[in-house]
Amino acid sequence: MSDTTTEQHAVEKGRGTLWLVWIIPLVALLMAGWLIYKHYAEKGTDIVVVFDSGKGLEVDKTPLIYQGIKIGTVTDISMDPKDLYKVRATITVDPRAAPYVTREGTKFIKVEPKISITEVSGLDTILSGVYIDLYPAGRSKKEIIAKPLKREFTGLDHYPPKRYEKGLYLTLESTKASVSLGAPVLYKSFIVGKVIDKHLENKTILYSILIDKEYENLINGGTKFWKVSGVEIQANLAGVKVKMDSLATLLAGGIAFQTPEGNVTEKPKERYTLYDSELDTHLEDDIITIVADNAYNVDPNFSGVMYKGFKVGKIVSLRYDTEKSQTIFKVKLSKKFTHLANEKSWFWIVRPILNIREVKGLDSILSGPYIAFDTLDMDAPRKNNFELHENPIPLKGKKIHLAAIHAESLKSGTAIFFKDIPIGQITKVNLVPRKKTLDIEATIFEKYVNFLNDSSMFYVKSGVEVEISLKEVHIKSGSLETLVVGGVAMVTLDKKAPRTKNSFFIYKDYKTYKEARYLKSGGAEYHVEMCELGSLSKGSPVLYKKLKAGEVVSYKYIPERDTIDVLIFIQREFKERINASTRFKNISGIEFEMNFPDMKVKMETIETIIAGGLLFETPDAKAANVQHGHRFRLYDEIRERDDTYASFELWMRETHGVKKGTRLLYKEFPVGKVAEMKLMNNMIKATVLIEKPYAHLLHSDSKLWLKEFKANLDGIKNVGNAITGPAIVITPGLANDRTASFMLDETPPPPTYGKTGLRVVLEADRRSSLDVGSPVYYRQVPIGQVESWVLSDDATRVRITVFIEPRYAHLVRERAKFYMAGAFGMDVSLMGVKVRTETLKTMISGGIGMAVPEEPGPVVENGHTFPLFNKPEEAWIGWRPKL
Amino acid sequence: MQWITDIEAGKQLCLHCRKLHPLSVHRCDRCGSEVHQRIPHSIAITWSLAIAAIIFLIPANLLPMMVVKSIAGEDAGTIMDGVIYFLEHGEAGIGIVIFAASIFVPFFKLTVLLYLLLNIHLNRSHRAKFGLKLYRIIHFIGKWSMLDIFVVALMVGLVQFKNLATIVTGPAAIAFMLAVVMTMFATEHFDPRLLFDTELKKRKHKNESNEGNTHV
Repeated sequence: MSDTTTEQHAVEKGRGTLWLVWIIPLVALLMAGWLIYKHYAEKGTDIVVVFDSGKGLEVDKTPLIYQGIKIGTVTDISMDPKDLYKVRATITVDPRAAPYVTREGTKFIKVEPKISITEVSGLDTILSGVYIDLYPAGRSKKEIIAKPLKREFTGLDHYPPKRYEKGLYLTLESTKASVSLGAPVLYKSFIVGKVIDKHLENKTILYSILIDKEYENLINGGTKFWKVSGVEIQANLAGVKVKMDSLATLLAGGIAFQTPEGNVTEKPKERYTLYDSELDTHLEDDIITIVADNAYNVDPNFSGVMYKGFKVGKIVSLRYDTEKSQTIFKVKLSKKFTHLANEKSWFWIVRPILNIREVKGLDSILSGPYIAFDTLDMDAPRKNNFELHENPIPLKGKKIHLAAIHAESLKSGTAIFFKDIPIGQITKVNLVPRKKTLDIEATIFEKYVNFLNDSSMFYVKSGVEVEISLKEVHIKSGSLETLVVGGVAMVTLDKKAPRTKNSFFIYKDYKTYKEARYLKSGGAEYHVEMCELGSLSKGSPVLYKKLKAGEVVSYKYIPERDTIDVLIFIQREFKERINASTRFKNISGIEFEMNFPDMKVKMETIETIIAGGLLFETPDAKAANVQHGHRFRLYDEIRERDDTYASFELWMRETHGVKKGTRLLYKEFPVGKVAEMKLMNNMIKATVLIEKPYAHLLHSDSKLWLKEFKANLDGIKNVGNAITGPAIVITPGLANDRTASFMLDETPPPPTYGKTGLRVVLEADRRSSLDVGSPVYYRQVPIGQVESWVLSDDATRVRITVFIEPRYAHLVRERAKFYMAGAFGMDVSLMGVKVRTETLKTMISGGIGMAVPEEPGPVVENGHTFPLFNKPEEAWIGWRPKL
Repeated sequence: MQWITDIEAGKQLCLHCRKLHPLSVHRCDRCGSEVHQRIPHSIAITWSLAIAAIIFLIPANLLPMMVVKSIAGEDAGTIMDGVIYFLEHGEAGIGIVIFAASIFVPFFKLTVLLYLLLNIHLNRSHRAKFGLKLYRIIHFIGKWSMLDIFVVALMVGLVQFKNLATIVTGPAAIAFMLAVVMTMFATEHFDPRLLFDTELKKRKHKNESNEGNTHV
């Protein structure tokens, strides 16, 4: 059977290799077995960790992480049957890590995000969830393997104090636990370590800190640690300084340290003291006691103890002793400064004082009151008990005694000024019963002692003093302080005087001082009587040959004579210059300038404008001597009544600022002044005095006109009069007769007024652009000018009076032709444009041209009338007469 | 029974191009493939492959199929974990599809295969037609059993967000894939005609006892 054989054949053919088929399940078995084995092998070893809370733990999610590597997973969480408050977490540990993890001593820490005002940690867990951190039991494999195996552990919620990190572990002792775990340890604001633990031990807070390995050498035995808080705001008058160490310290606080240079060899200690602030690290252990009446609002937390502006100490405590009614400050000073608290030390309170008498301690407005101290002798023996004063330490210097009759405003602390510079101060005011005077102790500061000598004088300074010399004007208001509080002024008359005296007298005010001073210097006093004080005041100078010879001491009104009596003092060397012939002049202000038109003196009057002054001259040196206290009369006032002046009337419609004293000028030179002004019949009558020698100027046709400052669109005129006020100017006429009554012109007469020369009249149709002063040309040479113009009587023409200079008068002949030179012609022809004008100037201001024919005719008389042509004829230009 | 087998008819079928050949032919004269009256060693190979598939199914269902690594941790889930996950999260449809494709189908196929093999061994010829129906079903659904692998492959390819989330295949994926492949090969190597040969044997046996001894 063929089919049977075929099948048989096939079966036989395969029989030999058929067993190979069974390799497939065998291989499958091996593979599946391997897969399963591998899977479970990889799953790792289970360990159990007991935590206080299972919060955040998730089965199959929460990883076990070692140095950032995941080495296991929480695979089960259950309650701890032994303690139901706790949970057991089963963690499957990576098989490769298992041998190291499952040892006695391994620590498991649950890391979860912590955000509080003091701590921010585990931020990475916000997204990834809680994880379990691990610290192995040792550092080397050998070390770990040596430990016994363990499968059950107790987990921690915080990192253990000892970390297996390289670095220096230190313990700091403190009294306050204000630094958080994890807070940075800073060196010059650079983070070099962190706080890894803190705990309480016998009322002391112990911080464990870790300094990173690379910064270990920053620490030695002398290192000082102190706490830093995140932000330090210092606000004072100098500005506001915000110091922030690092953002981390803002939240958690921090610890900073400083290592003094030098003792580098000293090995780091195990324990250090943690100071509250950097200042505290310098503080001496000794406590200084300061006793005061009042606590002055001092806040021990903020206020410090200052030495020359440096904070060198700290108020440790502040308490009030009810029995003794005293406030007791306990103060610790910085080590470097303790020697300054000695027997010569002076502690005082600095606090803001703001009242009408004084303004001080402004810096303490922001900083709060503080205690300052200073010492007079740095080497004095040490002392620990002090008294708190209200006034600052008197500076080192020479002690002097001052005697005074009244205490006035003098009290301890009042300053002594020399040229307005405080050079000392009153330290004590004692009453001396027997003498009825006050004994005032004062100190002149060391650096100013040289200014004090036997010639020094003292007086009570107050208000405003005026001291005037030719060189300078002192209106001494003193400083605001002296204005309000007063003070003592010191004056040293002779810089070369010996220094032997130690006690002085204080004059009660400036006047008494001055009087005393004059008498002391051997001068003399005189009286000068005057009607008006002018700008004289106390201290105004009395000059002799422009030299200061004395000064005005005082003045008073004498009702009987309606005058003012001015008391002047003349210095010794000028005393002999005063005799019966001496004339005193008041040089106050402008009048001085008028009388002495010397520029230099004018300059000096700037002082006298303000302060006034007196000047004296002695024409006859041999005149009779006068007594001390002689009365003089002011010379100016004598002279006015003298016959040195002639007077005339001047009428005006308005005053125009003219008043009594307004000057009368002739050729800019003062020759008189207005003595009186009266209103009469709607007109003003001024009586003007003119010095006799100039009375001849009063021709009947003389012009008196007003010179005043004018500013308008045409320009500014007479700037000088803006300061000096208007003046009356006399321009003499030509008439032979005299008069004593004039009318004041408001505009000046033409510049040619009163001059001798030829005056001819030109008749024109129009005035055109001609004005007073418009020039008259002959061959383009100016020979005269327009003096005035009026309309003719019938108003058909304009009559222009032209003044011709005398030396050109012979040029004006009967047949001369006058023409308008201002008009310019323009001839337009094929050859071009021809512009014709007399001069460029006439183009603008106008002018008159004159041409004289070859046969000129005789010289004309004054008042001859010519016609004025509008333009010249061509032929006129060619005329060349010989004149 | 009413049917006549190829053996009885003395014919053999090219399984490739379905041409009927006489027994003398060893190679199909149309498509050139080898022609056998029955797939050689069908039973033995099917058995071995089925057993291998069963072995692979064990790790495939015990070990994690897909490992999701995300910042929230690592989540390794077996196939059943996935099904439960979807059912729990109200995605019953997806859960059922995954369950059907990844758990029910492989088990069903192997169960059917074993049943068919046992039927042949136990000569249960009266179940031959039912067996054929079952065989057609498993043959048809065979191609769908890779669905889970496909899902995993897709997920692994798509979810690669570095630290945020990454999906990697678990060891079960390999086992499952191998199990599916083994099952498919087993199904392929099973010759359903053998189901009917038992009936033929019985007939021959009957004939033999009737006509004398003839070798099959």
